[in-house]
Formats: sequence, structure tokens, C-alpha cells
Amino acid sequence: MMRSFLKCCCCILTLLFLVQVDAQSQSVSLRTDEGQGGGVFTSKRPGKQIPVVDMILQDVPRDSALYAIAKLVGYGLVYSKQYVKLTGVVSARFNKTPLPEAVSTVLKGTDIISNISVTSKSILLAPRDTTKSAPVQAPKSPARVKGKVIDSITREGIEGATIEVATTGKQVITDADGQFYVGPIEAGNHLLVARRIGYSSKALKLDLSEDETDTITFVLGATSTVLTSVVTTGAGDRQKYQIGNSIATIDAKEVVESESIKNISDLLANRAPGLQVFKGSGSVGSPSRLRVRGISSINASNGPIIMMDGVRISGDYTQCKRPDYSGCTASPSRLDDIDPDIIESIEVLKGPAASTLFGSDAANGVIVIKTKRGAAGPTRWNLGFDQGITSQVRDYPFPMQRLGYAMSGGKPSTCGLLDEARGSCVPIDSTIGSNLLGNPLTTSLAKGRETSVNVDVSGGVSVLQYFISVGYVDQLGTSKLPDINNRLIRDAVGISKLPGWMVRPNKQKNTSGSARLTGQFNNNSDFSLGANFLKLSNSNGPDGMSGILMDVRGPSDSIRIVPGWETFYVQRSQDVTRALTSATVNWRPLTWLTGNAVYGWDFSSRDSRELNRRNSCLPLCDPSGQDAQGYVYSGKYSISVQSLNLGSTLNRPLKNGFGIRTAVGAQYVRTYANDLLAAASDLADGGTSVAQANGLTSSEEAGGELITVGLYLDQSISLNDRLFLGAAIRRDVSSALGSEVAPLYPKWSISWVASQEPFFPWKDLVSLRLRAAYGHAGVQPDADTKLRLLSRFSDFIDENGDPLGNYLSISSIGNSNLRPERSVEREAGFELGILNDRFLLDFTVFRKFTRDAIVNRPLAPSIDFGGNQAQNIGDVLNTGAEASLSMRLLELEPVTWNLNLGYGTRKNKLITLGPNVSPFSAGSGFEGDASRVVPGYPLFSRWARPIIGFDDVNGDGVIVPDEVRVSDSLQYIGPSTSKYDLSFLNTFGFMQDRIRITANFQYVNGLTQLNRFLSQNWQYLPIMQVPGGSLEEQAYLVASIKQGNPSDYGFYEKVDFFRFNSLGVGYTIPGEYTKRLRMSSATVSLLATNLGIWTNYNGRDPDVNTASAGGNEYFNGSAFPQPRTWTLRFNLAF
Amino acid sequence: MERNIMKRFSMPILVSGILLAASACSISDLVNTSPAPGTPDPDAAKTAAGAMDQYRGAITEFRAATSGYSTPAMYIVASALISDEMTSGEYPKEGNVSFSAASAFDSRNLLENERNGTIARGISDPWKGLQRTRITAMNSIAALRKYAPNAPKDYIGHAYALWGMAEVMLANLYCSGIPLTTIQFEGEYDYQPGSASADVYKHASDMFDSALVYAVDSLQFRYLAQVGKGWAQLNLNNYQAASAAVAGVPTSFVYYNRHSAVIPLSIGTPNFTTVLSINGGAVKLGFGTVSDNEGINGLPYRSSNDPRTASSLIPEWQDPEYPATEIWSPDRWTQNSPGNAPIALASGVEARLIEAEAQLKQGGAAWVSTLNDLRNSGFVTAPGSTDTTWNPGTGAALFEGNLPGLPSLTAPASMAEQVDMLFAERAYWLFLTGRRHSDMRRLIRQYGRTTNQVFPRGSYPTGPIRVYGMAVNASAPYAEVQHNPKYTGCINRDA
Repeated sequence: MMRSFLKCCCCILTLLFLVQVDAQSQSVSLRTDEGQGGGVFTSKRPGKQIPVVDMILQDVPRDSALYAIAKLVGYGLVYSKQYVKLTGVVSARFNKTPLPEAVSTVLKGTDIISNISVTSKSILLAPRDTTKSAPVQAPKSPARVKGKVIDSITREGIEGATIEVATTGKQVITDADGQFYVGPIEAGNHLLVARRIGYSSKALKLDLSEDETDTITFVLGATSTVLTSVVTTGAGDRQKYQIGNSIATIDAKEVVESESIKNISDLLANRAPGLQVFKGSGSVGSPSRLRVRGISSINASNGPIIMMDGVRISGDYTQCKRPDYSGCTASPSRLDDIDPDIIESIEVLKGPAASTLFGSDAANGVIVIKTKRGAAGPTRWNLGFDQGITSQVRDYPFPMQRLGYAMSGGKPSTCGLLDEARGSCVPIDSTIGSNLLGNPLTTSLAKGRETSVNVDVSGGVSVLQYFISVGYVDQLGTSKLPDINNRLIRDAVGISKLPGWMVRPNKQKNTSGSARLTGQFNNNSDFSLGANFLKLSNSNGPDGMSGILMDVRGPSDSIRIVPGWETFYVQRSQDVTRALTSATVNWRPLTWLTGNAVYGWDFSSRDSRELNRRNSCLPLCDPSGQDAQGYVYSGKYSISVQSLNLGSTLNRPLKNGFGIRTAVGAQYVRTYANDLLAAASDLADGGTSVAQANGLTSSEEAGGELITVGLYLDQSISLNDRLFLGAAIRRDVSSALGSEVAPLYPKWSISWVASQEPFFPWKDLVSLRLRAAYGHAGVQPDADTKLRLLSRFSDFIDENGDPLGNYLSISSIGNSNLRPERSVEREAGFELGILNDRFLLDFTVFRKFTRDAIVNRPLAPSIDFGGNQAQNIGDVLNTGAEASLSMRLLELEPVTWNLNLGYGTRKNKLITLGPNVSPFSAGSGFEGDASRVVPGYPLFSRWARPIIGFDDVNGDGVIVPDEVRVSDSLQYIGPSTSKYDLSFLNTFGFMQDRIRITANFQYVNGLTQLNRFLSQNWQYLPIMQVPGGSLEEQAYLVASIKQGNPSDYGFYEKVDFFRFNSLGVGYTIPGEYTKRLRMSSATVSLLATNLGIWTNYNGRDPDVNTASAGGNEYFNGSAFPQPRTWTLRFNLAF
Repeated sequence: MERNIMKRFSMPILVSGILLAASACSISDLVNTSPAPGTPDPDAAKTAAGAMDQYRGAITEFRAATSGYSTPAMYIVASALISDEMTSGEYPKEGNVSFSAASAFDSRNLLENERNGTIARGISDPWKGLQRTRITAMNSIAALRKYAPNAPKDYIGHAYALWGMAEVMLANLYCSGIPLTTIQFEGEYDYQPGSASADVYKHASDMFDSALVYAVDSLQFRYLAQVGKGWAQLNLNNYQAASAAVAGVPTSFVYYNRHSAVIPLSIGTPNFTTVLSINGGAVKLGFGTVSDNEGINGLPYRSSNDPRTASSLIPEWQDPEYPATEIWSPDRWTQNSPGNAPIALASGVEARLIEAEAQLKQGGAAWVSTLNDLRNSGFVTAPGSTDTTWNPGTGAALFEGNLPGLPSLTAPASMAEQVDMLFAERAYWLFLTGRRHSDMRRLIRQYGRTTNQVFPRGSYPTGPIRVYGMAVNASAPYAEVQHNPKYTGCINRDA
């Protein structure tokens, strides 16, 4: 397959090369023509007329006069204010005066000369002394200039800068690395001007020698961060100001250094408006789910795709199979495998308007990760060491139980209000209860800890740089076997110490290594090789609280095992080995033409195991039970993602301020997964594997291969480097859809840097860019969804009742007409920077309409094969707005304060579900009401049958289920995801930034949660045990057990919360001390997370969402809340 | 010069490049993938062996749909519950406020658009199974024709016969309005509107005719098609056509469903007798107990002591709290080899009974002679082993073990009594083969009886209503109404 693709790509590249050769030949011919002209003030090209000027000037400032003349004849006026001082006033009368003469008249008496190019319609001004010998020199042999334009701060090349030879009008544009080449031009004195929007311009005077090539470097200082940043698109890196869509950029390096970041999910959370990070649990190694601009897909994936260093990698969390832990609450996310210490930056392409060129997988956005790379210079060592503690800080209800006597027999019994009302007991004035989680002997909560070490080294020379990083993370979760259980089990078994996996079941160790080598083959080509290796060992037991709150016991109760302990003797482990490699080659055959090839391979292998050893529960369990016999679930899963991207970009200026950029490319992505699952029971003594079990309970082998091939063309036109119009198209074919389905994804965009226009009044104070974009992108179905699948079984029974041969059964009906989901997005916005971007507002509104959403439509029983069929029948609308406001509020010598506010709001609505498709449930709850798919409402919204009344018919002060009236029909409660959220990221610097404090907060509004914690434990609340409580509250609780018509309406809560997410205090040790230790810098930091939450939610953590229905059911299950961490960190650099 | 050279060659090079690229870029090659290990194979039926596998799939689906086990029942048990053959066996507990699916069938409380999940599943499971049989048979015929042209044509005949049997059973158990939805082999599906019961019987009869065209060498398959056609014609009120259809079918013929005692079918439906023998709880909820005079009108299957409907009391399945509730297990399918007992789906006995009914309709005494010939024969012997196509093995009798000869019957005077006698003989001979319920419907439809004269009625011991309902057939599954855009539900609920 790969060979076919390479063959095809070779042909495409051949074709591309031919086109380039063709283009080159035309270019050469043009150059030849121009060379024949060679004039300074006029062009002798046939057909080019020198304009004339009719104008009267009376005491007009000289610069205004020139602007007026240029405007009159439609020419551009080009000069450097640094070298060309247009002072004084002029008076003149022009009557059909040739333009050169008119300009000379205006410049009379100055040291400035003009160079008028009819070809480029420009008037170039330069100091006289730089060109004094040029016009009269005899023809010379040509000279050449090459060089680089770099950023004064980052020292990195600036792409897209214009280099203009002011004395000739010749222009070139720098390539992706900031390099340029000018030539051939006449030898002699020249003025070269480098300009790039967002930077101050710079000019250099050069005396060029014949037959020689000068090498120069322009160092430009940024004037606007808005206008200087570079972002990734599907067709390569672009200047951010050139594209019409919003892209959020996260400076990962800075965030990781100043905050407690354990994984990429931490890095992304609350830093990109429009991106939501749903944490699955507070357990170590729990997965997160990313959702960009809401939810669009009903049965297909809602997750963004992940690109790292230009290659596609696997980002999905694993499927919800037994070895991955039931409910997926603890399965490590594949995205979080990546060590955040190696990441330079992350960009979030939020929707189809931005991600069109990523094609059929990108409708839910793209997360673009760029890893660190070395820089030329001496070897630099960085050493980081973290030591932290974690704890659970949420309070838990105090469960209680009223006591009494049973009605029959008079034995002592529990006697809650419901028991009494039903007449099954007579209460006594006594209650018992305790919060087992608050008792050191019975609690299953413990202090966790985290240790991490990271070492990286980087350096190199100009042609070869390297970056190598090694990291190790050891995390221990906050669950433990209660001490009382520990003691009783040891006593019963007769051993002095229980195994560690039983006592502290939740832990994870990551070991990772990364290396990147970058360098140049020659001036025209460079390469980058990357390799990342990861070894992860995860152990994940129970969440430590199952059933504990239901265990009410009094002080006089005998010591006994805390409920839920039985889950502790089951060992769950998962080992992941992952390797990511990438290779990139960039080639610049011409200054305006680049080509690149990127190959990547991401392979991960996971070995999951759930093991209950034989007799490990004895003597505390039934010796004849299945638990005592032991069982093992074993899963082997591997996934490989291979990708190859080939692209070429043509970028060159045209006449009259126009420029074009054309990018073409091809992309090949192959994903192959293999999943083997076996379950076996009746383990031998000491047995730990399927092979050591007597009975193979089940085995399953699954997997799939998905290949996608895409071709794209991206064309943009610019005017004066201020207005950019772009149009692009991508065509895909994939194995999931068949070669006959080749979706086409178009896009267009416009970007206008209004503040750079001559008429903009406050250009020194304000930067303003307006932008709009429109684009399509898709989401593919799974590899086999389209196919009619037949399962073969080997147990056909013959006429004697014996197995004889195979038979086939249709297991899935397939849909040969299946297409990808198609999302169409429009977005518009602006970036407004004030006072050199001291206040920077980025605002975007979007409308994303997803049509042909893939719905697993239930089949009528008359064709029931597989239960349902994937069809393109849903339409979903997402609308919203995003804003970020960055403010450098204080920039004083002793203190600085930067505040970044993020805001994202979203509205989701299922427009239609197709004809004859009934609303359906996507998860659990009564009638699946916890998460339903209903046209006219948000996807996966909350529904319940409302309680329409209650009466204490017998006046006993207790509401029993029969006294509650529940509606027969479901009622919409609210969306399962938030309506809007706010983030507040503060950075304070003291003592010249030697002390740096970060404080991050988050506010979330409009979330509707199903309080599972309450639904599981309400019977033990005081209101159900002590007379005199609110009848209404009782009604809402007991409705959940109403016979025949239960309702969990009372467990839904509309939730807002404000969380103090993180605090970091860092101190950089003064240089005089670090130098003595031969360190270039040293920082010690105290970092904390989850310092407080203020919420109306009565459950555990409103921001923890488990998911089991394809990742699209959001509720607060039985998982741990997010813990609080305190971390001490040392960063040393040598 | 340079320009001229490039100009001269650039266009041919460009065109050559395009052609080269186009020839090399076979998109289908690029995106061609093969299923991963363990993934169901979309091309599995596209070989001669695969076509045979699909044919066996049709047989398996038929077994699952008729004598397979589900909660509560597939065709035979569902049919037995709604008729007078079996009762659900549920205890008359106080506070039992909802029907189980078995009790809903048994008490004839089968409402249209039933949304109670348990009952809805009970209604839809036999429907699904029989529809799957139709469609798999349909596809296996196409697969055999296309990919196994050298295989014996009798297999195609067999598949047609199963197709026809499934349609007869659908029309028997459910209300009028059966959608005969199709799925083309290697093609699309096409939902169909509901067809009237008579149309379904006619279509089934056509399928049996097709079976007879192909099943030339295999007597086993020919006889199955003949009996099936006779059954369909009987339901169409065409007694002479029914009799003609079964002519020549030897009395010893039996077509069995085979199951394994130890290997449940991979599609999840073991023989219901497996469940019956190993799990008393499942019996009570899913299968039931052999009835005796159920609901006033029911036949005395137990108290008659007829050996054809013999049953055994299983004391260990009785609930100690409700000792009065007895669970009677039918000996017919469980006496000798629970779990792998072959379940008869068609027989020569039925052929004789069809002939007897035609004779009754013609008048005279031949019908009772036919019945007595059967009764006097004692037990039915197995077919010979001459049929190599189907690998019949040793075969087995309709009743395993020895069935003593039964005393001759004397024809009663009135036609009504004669009809009662004939239908009782059918009920006893064909006990638990899925015939009784359709016979009860025929008594109403073709012999002028009323529902109250035929079906169990009166009080019912358990459930929320505690009386028998009015249903004489199962309603269409609500899911069919919901998801089949051409289907609007039952045309009528009449017999």
C-alpha cells in the first residue's frame, strides 16, 4: 500500500517538478527581457507608457506631494523613512509632465533621487550618495546577494519578509527559514530594504562587487505580536496575519516551566477559548476528552485529530473493553502519553474553516504539536526535578441510619423513614452513622505523590543542531485499601504485609526519551529527524469509595471490613510502549519555491490485564465462588499510524504590490489497529495468565485498517502584504468510503491588516486585523462501517447433532452509500492590539453546520442484522463566540502583571435526525435519559420525567413513592456541556521577573449534571432518616424508586463553578550565585493545583466527566474528583 | 535559446507527466485494505465454500428462529404460549404489577405498539428470527447460484423451503400485515409494507413451489417443501390443494432441527430444551409448563394421559413458597437427550393429517380412517439413509422411544364434533411443533368458531390485569412501526 502511494506521489512530484520547470523557464525569459531594458528611470519594454502628471502644488509638504503624485498615476511610493528624509514644502505646476520629471521637480534641492519602475508601478526613493555612480557606469558583470531575515528576539528566520533593492525596484520574499536570494543585479552601491508586516523595516547599504555574492543578515524587531506569529495550516506554516481563521497558540514551553503540568490535557485546559478538556477522573492516568467548538457528531468521533511535528499521531483514548477498565474511567489517554516537557508549542485549529486542508478527519479541529529543537551554539543542559503530594479535598455527606425494631419478630433493625412509613419497623430514638472517609481507620483516601525528573540537552553548529530529552514520572494516586481492611485481611490470611498493588492500587510510571536532529544539507535544503519513545506502566484499581457511604455503623459496632474492599484484590495493570518517529526534508530550489516531505510513524502497543488470583480473596469470600477460583482478562492492543505528506509551495511577489502563494500537496495516512482479548476463569494456583486457566471464557479478535489519501491545492493572493485572499480545496479518498466516494472540501478566507493601510490614523498605537473564513471538513466513519460483514462460525450442527463445518451469519448490514460527515463553518473576527499590543483583543464568532452526520439508525426488525445501520441523516448546528484579552497591566521596574482572559460560549442544537428516526438514548439513566439525542435540543442533552406533584396522603410526614406523581413523558433538563466558560490567567513578575507568580482561575456556567453520587447514596441522608424534613425534597428523592415509573429528575443539577486551578511561585536565583555553580540559571518553584472550587453542585466534582457511549455521554460518575497537588520544582540550566 | 528549448519541450513533458501520473495513481489501489484478523469478512460468501457457508447460515437461522431459545421464546414456544399448549408458569405473586413477556403471550395481552421493553422484545424476537431466516435463505440462494454453480441444486431447493416455512410461521404467529422486506445479495435492502396474511401464505406457497423445482434428488427437501406447501394451502382454506401438495410424502418422514447439547449456536440461541433442562428459573419465566385445560377452552394435554403429550412434574423447580404451582416438563423434546433433542419441524404425520382434513371437508369417513391409521401405527419409524444429499444419518422418529398404539377413534355425528376431533388429533400429534396456534386461528377463520370458543379465556393468575386478553395473534413489533418507513402496523388483529 505504501509502495503504491510512493509510486503515485513520485508521479505527482514529477508532474509538479515539470510544472515548476515550466514556470522557471518563463521566469528566466522574463528576466532576460528586463535585463535588456536595464534603464534606471524608464522602462523600454514595449507597451509600457510613462504616465504624465497634471497637478498644481502650492506649498505642499514634500512627502504629501509625492504621495499625491503617486496616487494620481496609480503608483506605489517606496522609501525608507530612516534614510529618506522628506522635509520642506514644494510648489509646482505640472501640465502633462512626465512622471520622472514631476518627481524630480518635487525632489529638487534634496539629496534624494528617484527610481521609477513602470513595470512594478512604483516610485522608489533613495539617498543620492548610494547611487551616485550607478546611472553612468558602463554595464558590469552581475553581483548577487543572499542572506537571512531574523527576529531580534527569537533569532529565528522570518518568513515572508520582502527584500527590496531600492535602487532597482527588484523584490524577493524570504522563505520559511527567513532566507532570501537576490540576483543577478548590477555591481555597485545598492540600498536593500527588508520589510515585514509587524516588524520595523530595516535598510542596508551595500557595495556589491562583480561576480561575487554578498551574504547579509537583517535583524528585525517586532512591533506587533499579532502580526509576527507563525501558525500551521494544512498547507504548511503561514504568517498568522495572512490567514482568515482563528488559531489559538499555546506557548507550551513557558506554561510547563511556570505551572504544574503533568500531561498535554493539563497544558490545553483553559488556554484556548473554544477548546474544552473533559477530565475523566482525578485518578492517576485517567483519560481526557477534547472537544473543539462543541459536539457535532452523533455516532462518529467528536475528537480533534492530533498532528505532531507535521505527522499524524494517535490521540484517541482506547475502547471501553474490560482490560481497559469498565467505563473507561481510568484508561490512559493516548494523547497524554506525550511528555509535555518536549513540547515547544501547541496550536488549536478550531474547525473546518481552519482545518479544511486536513480533510476527512478534521471537522472537529486539529491539535498541532511542535516539539522542541536544538539551536546552534554551546551545549545547553536543562535539569528539572519535581516532587509533589496530592490529596482529595472534597467533603462528603455524613451518612446515617435510624434504628428500630422489625415489625415481625421484634428484632432490632434499621428503620429509616421509608421503612417506618411502609410499616416494616418501629423506630427508636437513635441513629447511627459515621463518615468512613473521614475516619483514618476506615477511609480509602490517602495522600498521593508525584515525582518527576527531566533532563534535556541541546546545541549544535549552524548546519546541525540537536535536542535530546529524557523524562521519568512516578505518580501514586489517592486511593488506598482502608487500614481496617488491611489489618483484617492480614490477620485472616496470616501474612505480615499485603502486596503493594492491593494497598495502593492507583499508580503510574512513565519513562520517555526524545531526540530531534535538525540540520542543513546545503543552502537550499534542510532536514529534521525526530524520535520519541515512551514506556508507561499503569495500575488502576477501584476508586476507593464504592459503597462506603452506604455503610453506616455506630461506635459500638464491631470492627469489620469496609464495603467495597473486594475490588482491591483484583489487580488491574496496563503497560504501554510507544514510539513516534518523524523525518522531514525541506527543499528550496528557488527562493520562491519550496518543497517538503514529511514521514511519520506512531506505533503503540498496550498490554492490559485484569487479574484475580486464585484464592486471593480467601478466607473472606465464598470458597466455591467464582472470585475464589480466580479469573483473568487479557488484552493486547496495538495501533500504528503511518503518514506521508508531500507538498510544494510557490511564493513570490507580483507587480503592483500583488503577491501569490500557491501550495499543492498530497497526504497519505494509514491507521492499523489490532485488538486481541481473552478472558479465562478457574486459574491454577499461582496462575496469572490465560494459559494457566482451566476455562477459556471468551476470546475476541478485532481491529481495522483505514487508509486516507488526500490532495490539496491552496491558492492565496496578497495585496501590499496587507490584504490576503485565499481559496483552497482538498479531495480525499479513503478505504472507509471506497474509491468511488471522493469528498471535496473547499475553503476561502480573507484577512485584512487594516492598521497597515496608509489611511489608518493610529498605526503607531493600534494594530487591527479583520478576518473571515469559510471551510468544509469531514469526519469519516470507522473502517468497516460501510461494508456488509459476515461472521463465520465453525459450529454448524449436522444431522447427528455434531459440529460439522462453518456457517455464515450477517453481522452488519453495512451501507454502501455512506459518506463522511461534512461540517461547514463560517467564522469572522478581529484582532485589536493597542499600545504595541499591550492590550490585545482577539474575537471570533463562528457558525458550524454539520450535515450528513452519521447516525447509527436502528433497523426495523424485518432486517435486523446488527441492530442498526450507519446513515448520513443528522444535521447539527454549533454556534458561538470566542474571545481572548491579553493585557500587560503593569510594566513597572519592580513589578509586572499580565492578565489573559479567555471566554468561550457555544450553543449546540440537533436540527434534524432524518425522516422516521425517533429520538434515542446514548447512555444510562432511566430510559437513558441521562444523555439523549432529540431534534431541536442539544446533542446528548439531559432529560427526565418531571415530578408533577406529591401529597402526604396519610399525613405521616413522610413521602413514599406512591405519593409522588411523575409525568409520563420526558422533559428537557439542560445541556450536558457548559454554555460558556471563562479563564483568568495571571502572571506577576517581581524584582525584574526574578520572582514569578502565576495564578489561574476558571469559571464554567450552564452545565447540567446528573449527580450520580446523590442517586447512589440518598437513602442515607438525614432527610430520609430524621422526621421533619422537607416533603418536597423527599418527593424528589423517593421518585427514583417509584414502582413502574421511576424518575431521576431530582438528581439533576444545573451547575456553575469557579475553580482556583493553579498557582505557581517561582524564584530565579541571582546570577552571581548560579555562576559559582557553573549554572546559567536556576529556578525553584512552588506549584499547586486545584486550590479551591466554589460551586452549587452537590456531587463530587462537576468537571469530571466519564463517558461510555462512544465518548459522548457526559456525566459525573463514581470517579474521583480532581485532587489538589503541591509540587516543589527545581529547574537548573547549564 | 534557453527559453526556446523549454518552450519547445515543456508541453510534451507536461502532458507525459500527467499521463504517467494518471496511469500510476490507481486510487482504488491506494485505499484498498484487507480486514484485520478477527474482523468479519465482507467477501466471505463470495466463493463456492462461502456460498455453502451462507446456505448453512440459513439453516442455522431457521433453527434459531424456531426451536432456539430466547427470552422468553422463539417461534415454537411463543406459539405454544399464546395457544393452549403451554402456560407461563409464573407464580401468582401479590404485587406482581407487570407482565413478563411469557405471561403477556400466555394471557394474550399483546397490545399494538407495545413499548414495555421486556414484552416488546418477546414480541420482536421470533419476528426477527423468522425474518433473518427469510433473508439469509434469499441471500444463500443468490450466493449458491453465483459462486457455487456446481453444488447440488437441492441446496437451493432447501433454502427456498426454509424461506417458505419462515413466511408461513410469520403469518401464523403475527397479525395480518407482515412486511416481506428484502436484502439483495451484494445489494441494498428494501423495506416493504405489510402484506396481508393470505398474501404471505400465497408467497410462501410460491417459495415451496420453487423449492420443488430445485429439490429433485433430495427427498428430504422435497418432502419438507411439500408439507410446507400443504400447511400454507391449509391456511389459505385450500384443503384439496393442501392434500395434493403432501401427496406422496411418506408417513415416516420427519424434518428435524438439530442442536448441540454442549455448543450453543454462535448467534446466541441454544436449543430451548437446553435451557429447559438446566435452568428452572428460565423455564418459569421463559418457557412455561405444559398446560391442562388452559383457560376453559384448552385441551387436556396432561390429564388426558395421551402419550403424545406426556409431561413430567419437576419437583425441584417448584417454589417452596408456592408449592401449588407445578412445573410440567414436556417429555417430547426432553425425555431422552435434553439439549440436543432433535425438534421436528415437518413430518409425514402432518401430511396424513392434512389429507385427513381435506377428506373431512369432502365428507365421508375416510378422514377418521386416516387418523386411525396413524393412531394404530404405534410409532413412526425413521427415514432411510438413502438421501446422501442431506447426510441424514440414522434419523429419528417423530417420537423418540416407543409410542404405544392408540385406540381407534369413532367419528362423532356432528360436523362440529368431527372438527374438534380432527383438530385435537392435530394438536396431540403436532404438539410443540408450532402448529396448534395456527390451527386455533383457522378454527375461527375457516370453521366459524368464535375466539371465546377457541382460545383460553377467563381469569389469569398473575400480572397486572389478571384476565386473559383478546389477542389471537401477536402484534407487530413496535420497532417495525418505528423504523420501517413503509410499515404502518397490523392491517387487522383478526384471526
